[in-house]
Amino acid sequence: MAEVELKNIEKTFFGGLVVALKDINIKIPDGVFATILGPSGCGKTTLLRVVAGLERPDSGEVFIKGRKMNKVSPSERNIAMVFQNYALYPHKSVFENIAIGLKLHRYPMYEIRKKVEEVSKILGIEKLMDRYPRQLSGGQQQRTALARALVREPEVFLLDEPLSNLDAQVRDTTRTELKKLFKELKATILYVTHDQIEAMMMSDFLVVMNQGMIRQSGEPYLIYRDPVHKFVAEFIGPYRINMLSGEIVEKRFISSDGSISIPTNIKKHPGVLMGIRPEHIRFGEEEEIFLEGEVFLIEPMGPNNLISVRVRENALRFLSQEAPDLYKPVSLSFSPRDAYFFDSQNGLRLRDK
Amino acid sequence: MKRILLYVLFILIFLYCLFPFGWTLITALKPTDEVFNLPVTYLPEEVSFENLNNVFYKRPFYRYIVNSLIVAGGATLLTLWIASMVAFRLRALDYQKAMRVQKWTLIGTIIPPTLLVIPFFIIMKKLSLTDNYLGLILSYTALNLPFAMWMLHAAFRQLPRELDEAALIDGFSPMGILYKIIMPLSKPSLSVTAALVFIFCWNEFILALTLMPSETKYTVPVGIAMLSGTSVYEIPWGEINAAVALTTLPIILILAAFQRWIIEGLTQGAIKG
Amino acid sequence: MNRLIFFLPFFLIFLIVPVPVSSQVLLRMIGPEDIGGAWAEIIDYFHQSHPEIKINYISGPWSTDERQNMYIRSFLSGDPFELVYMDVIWTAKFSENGWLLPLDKWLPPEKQKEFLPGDIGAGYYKGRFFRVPVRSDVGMLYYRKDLIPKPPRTWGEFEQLCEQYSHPPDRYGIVFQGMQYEGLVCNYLEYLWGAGGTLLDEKGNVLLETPENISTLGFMKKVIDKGWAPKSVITFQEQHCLEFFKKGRALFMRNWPYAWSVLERSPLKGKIGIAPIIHKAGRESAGALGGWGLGIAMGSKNPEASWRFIEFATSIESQKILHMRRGAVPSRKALFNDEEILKESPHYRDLFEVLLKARPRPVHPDYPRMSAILQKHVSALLVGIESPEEAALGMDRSIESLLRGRKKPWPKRLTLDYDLHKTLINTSLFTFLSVPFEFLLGLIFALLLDLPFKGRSFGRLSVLIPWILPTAVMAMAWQWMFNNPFGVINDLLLRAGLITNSLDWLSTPEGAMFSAIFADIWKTTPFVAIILLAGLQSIPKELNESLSMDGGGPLMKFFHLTLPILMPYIRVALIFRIIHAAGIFDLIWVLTKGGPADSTRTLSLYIYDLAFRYDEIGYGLFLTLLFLVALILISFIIVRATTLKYERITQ
Repeated sequence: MAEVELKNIEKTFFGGLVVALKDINIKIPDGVFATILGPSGCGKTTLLRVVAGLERPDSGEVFIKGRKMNKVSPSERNIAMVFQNYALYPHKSVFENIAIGLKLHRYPMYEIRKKVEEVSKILGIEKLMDRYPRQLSGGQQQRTALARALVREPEVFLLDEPLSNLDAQVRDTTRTELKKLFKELKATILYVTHDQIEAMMMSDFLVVMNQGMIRQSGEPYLIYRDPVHKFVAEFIGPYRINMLSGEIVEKRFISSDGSISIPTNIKKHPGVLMGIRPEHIRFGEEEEIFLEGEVFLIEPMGPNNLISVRVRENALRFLSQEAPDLYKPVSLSFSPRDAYFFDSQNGLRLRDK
Repeated sequence: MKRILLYVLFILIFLYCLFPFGWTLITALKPTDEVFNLPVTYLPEEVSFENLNNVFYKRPFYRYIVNSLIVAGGATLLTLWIASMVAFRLRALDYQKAMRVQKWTLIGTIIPPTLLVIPFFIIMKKLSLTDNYLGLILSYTALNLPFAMWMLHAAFRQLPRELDEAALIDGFSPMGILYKIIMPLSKPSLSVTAALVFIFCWNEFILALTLMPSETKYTVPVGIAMLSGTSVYEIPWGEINAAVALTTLPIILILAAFQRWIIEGLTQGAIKG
Repeated sequence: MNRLIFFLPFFLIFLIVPVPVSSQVLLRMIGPEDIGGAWAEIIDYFHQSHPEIKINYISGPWSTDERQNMYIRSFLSGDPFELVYMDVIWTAKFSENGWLLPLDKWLPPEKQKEFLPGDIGAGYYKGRFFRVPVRSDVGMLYYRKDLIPKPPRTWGEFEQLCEQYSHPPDRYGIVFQGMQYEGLVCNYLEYLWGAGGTLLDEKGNVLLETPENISTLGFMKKVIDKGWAPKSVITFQEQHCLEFFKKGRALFMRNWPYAWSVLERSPLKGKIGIAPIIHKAGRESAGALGGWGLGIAMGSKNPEASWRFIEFATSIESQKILHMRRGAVPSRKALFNDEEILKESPHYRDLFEVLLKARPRPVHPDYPRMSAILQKHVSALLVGIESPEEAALGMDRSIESLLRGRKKPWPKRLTLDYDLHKTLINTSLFTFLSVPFEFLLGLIFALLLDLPFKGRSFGRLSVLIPWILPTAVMAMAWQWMFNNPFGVINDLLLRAGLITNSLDWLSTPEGAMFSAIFADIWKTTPFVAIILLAGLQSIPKELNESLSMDGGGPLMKFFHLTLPILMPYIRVALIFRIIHAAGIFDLIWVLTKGGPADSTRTLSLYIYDLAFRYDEIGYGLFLTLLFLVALILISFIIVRATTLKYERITQ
């Protein structure tokens, strides 16, 4: 159980050419399952590696359980890491792979054997002890990598996109298993992924990153509901948010083509992007904001369909179980409370005063 | 029809490559007078080991073999040791930077040792290492390092960096990573490099001639070349052939053992060049 | 910390009081095989009276050149052999390089008078004295006084007597030292001096492109061509001549005084006479001054001890032992009046007179190198490779460029260095004949090995063999295979009916070059083949198939598909091969040593000789540098020339 804190971390590569981490300040409470989420290249893996000690930050401080870790080597930080490609030692058996960390920390042999057995049982690989990594399936390799991390009983677990190498089906079941597994542990988990559904499903604490900076952190649902940045709104959510450009004048948002008008508490703002999630739009006239347009594309998604509707110059997408005819006029509605407004220059969320 | 032609060609190639060696062997096994038969006999009328015997006891030939083993073995170990450390470090760098460094050492692989005799001699003399095993070992190491670094670097790079990182987290020291993880996983490349370096040192002539002038310290090639230099009248051809056969046989055996890897290693190195 | 302090006194003791490893002084000298045990006896007596000094007589090769090289190597390596047993001609070079300790204080002029003047003179260089003569020597003519009325004085008389009395092959006219070594130069100089010619004039200029020289060379050649001397003289040194003459197979023998005692103990006892060397009519006879002496190496740790031994070894008693046991000619005048000696060798009275007139070879620090040049050309003359005019020209040019070049700064020397030019020609010839053939063959091999067939890996294995065997060792095998007449190559060609007489591969310039190229191609073809094979295997099959579908025949495929893809591989192989071929040493040094007559001497051999035999390390390094630069340039050019456009674009 350990809280992880990063203060003012900066990290660049290639002598300043590439900025990986900028102004990172975050405190992850202990015992939570924290996910670091973001598109590729956002710096999430770098952040993880800084915590692990595999990268040294250019400036800033790393704290684990309140102790400053900047000068401490990875093996002394009481952490364990599961790599994206598992990084199992090909020339060692499953047993040896799992046991190696303990051996290097000079645990006595009988204790090592006991712990390895325990952990293998938990992960269901106790029958594979003598095999070598190349004789294992992807899933088995992953569980071995997990076992290797688990057996160390660290205070912080670091997982670098552990599911991205698995088939879609396996990924689903593994996700649940992982969540169950880690719930029973008392360690802090730092989990890196680019899959926001995964992030939403598994984490207690979510950190959204983009371009080396943390955009928002906190409880997943809150982030979903109340994004502070256009990027977060666009990234989080099962389907891509609809963004309309316009401006706010006299407490009303007017879209650029003038077709949509929404009341708001914000007085005035020149360049504005309005976001509205597909989940919040419906056919019909139930909600306050009422639009008319015509359907131009229907994407069936099993139980639901993704309907694309053109309203004047704007295109809106939303979910519905219906499947109306194309090119016929339809009505849509949504609540103004579901609308988010962002400054079109810097992407920050506009709030009423 | 084409098949037969091909097979004939292959046999010709085979003969071409092995004939000198085979002929040497045959001559070595002939008794001394038969060696000088005219016309030449192709199969020894009687197989005799007297040439082999003489070579071993008349000249301290076994000493030459010991010397060669010391020098070649020592140089191989030293080269591999240094090269593995350098390759390990290079591997940690990103590819561009590492290649820039390697490009400079490339010059080392091209320069033939014959051009470097004089500088080597002067250096070794200043270090008082002439006529000393260490002098030759160091020289061979210097000559082979570029090649060995090249090979090992390429081999090490095949291994994902994540292995190093997992090892770091597990608690390996950097040297530990090199010796317990990287090297065991690169055994094929290590063996090939070791074999090639060893063969190079075993075969090397001009440096051995210059840096080890006393007879008791001759390496095998020098020893054989000097076999005819001292006696004026008679050149002991039977013995010379025996010595040649003795020397070349082990090399052929090593070749057979490592052949697949040697070819791979050669071509890999060549392409990267 | 305390432990360190505890050990400190021990270290201090070792610093102050050097641990005597051994209290005995060890002095080493190199000499020829001690036939007769004269040296063993001398050293034994010395040990008895000087127990604290141990003398190690190292028995070295017969060839004086080899022994000289051994001394030079020991000087260069920093651990010189303390007692320098020197030939008469080594003094200049050794002292010029500062390798000898001056001995003036130990043998002042009063004491020098006890020795023969010529021998003492041979110990001086630039006014200082370095070498105490142990034994003297002069070249002279032995003749069968039972077969010939009186000895010839002139060349003309000699020719007449040979015509009259010799009938080869049972009995030849004369036998002399004709092998390529210092002895040959003695013979040659005696004829040259006898013709009124000389090597250098008073100003030190080379004087070899003269009629005297050409007539000398012509005479020597005539002696062989007319069969007055057996063809095998070109392999004879002193001992072979002696054997030959002893068996009664020649009327005359040119040799040193030592032969007398051997002959007097043979069936020819009483039938031998000695005379001064023949000369051209109207000129003077001159025998070459020989002999050996002892000097002390500069930098030896105990010169006093060395002097003790030298004093002992050059005393009257020691010289007498050398004479009695070995037939050595003493260098002390007193011994020529010694009763015992005169009883055994009454001819010593005459010998004394000849000795007083013995003529030294040119005193010049570069004499060894000049001698090497002379040896080479006279040998080429005798073998028939060069005519007298060619030999004279060659000698003159080489020595002249040597002497002139010595004084010039290196860059200027490049244009003067005749040997260098020859070397460059040889190297280019070798490289540009060898490399194309290797590539051709290598390509064929690679194409063949690319085809799928059973035992392919076996084929690859055998192809590697030539490359992986040590060059130097295989060169010995090739020497044997090219041997005349026992070599297998001659045999195969004879059996195949392609030649009627076995060819002399390694003793003719063309043959030697051919053999070297042949051996090199044998060795390096596999290397090229393997690299090209790798290239062939990198050609994706689909390209091949697609080209077939487009209607490409094998020839077109080769030029449009195979060759372009092979380019990087060809480039690599080409660079490696050219650099290696240009720098070739192992093969040639062992196979031909650069001979015959420098026809296979390549650049690296020349540089090696410069550094380790001619003691011109600086110039050698200079040439190495130029060579390296040239190679790098060539590599660049090759890369440029063979990089195809598509490679440049995608670079």
